[in-house]
Amino acid sequence: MSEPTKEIDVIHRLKNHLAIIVGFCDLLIAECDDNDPKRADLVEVHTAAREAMALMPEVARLASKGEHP
Amino acid sequence: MTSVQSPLVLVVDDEAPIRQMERRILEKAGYRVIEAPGGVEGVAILNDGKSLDLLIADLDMPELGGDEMVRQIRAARPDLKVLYVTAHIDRLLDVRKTLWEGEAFLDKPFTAKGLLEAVALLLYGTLSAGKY
Repeated sequence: MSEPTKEIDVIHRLKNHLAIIVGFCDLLIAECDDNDPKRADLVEVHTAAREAMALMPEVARLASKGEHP
Repeated sequence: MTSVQSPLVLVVDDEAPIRQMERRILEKAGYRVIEAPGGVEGVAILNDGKSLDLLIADLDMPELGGDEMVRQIRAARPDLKVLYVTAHIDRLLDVRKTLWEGEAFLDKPFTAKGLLEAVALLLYGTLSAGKY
């Protein structure tokens, strides 16, 4: 494949970080009992990361147009 | 499948936390997992004759990308099922207009459920992802 632009490279790295946050959150939440006090905190992190995931197409669109998100 | 054992999955990614995360998700679901930190090491494992059921390959790796890695082993392993994991889905589709039968892609970032569904779809033709 061709070399990525700087914008694409940054988005790639951001997506990798989000993949790690979401994936490990999934694992930790699955390991938590329903009454574990950490569960609600993990769900908050997970929800925020999922919402950041949902923003990625918009970030990519803005980057491709040279706009700042 | 190669045996009555649970399916064996090779995870190839240059990002160690991604490999570890995928390993934990897959092992928790009952799969056996081996890892390689890059395409060159992945090819070496595949050429070693190991009986794999599925290859999960990152597309963007510094020395040898997932697409080129698979191209190198395709002749010897025409039936190998491959899940490409990529943060650059557009670039994959630029160079690969169509995927082979037994190939699929998963866009990063993904959830545990998304990973397990993609793996189950390739291996069993079903979306069942267990507890996630």
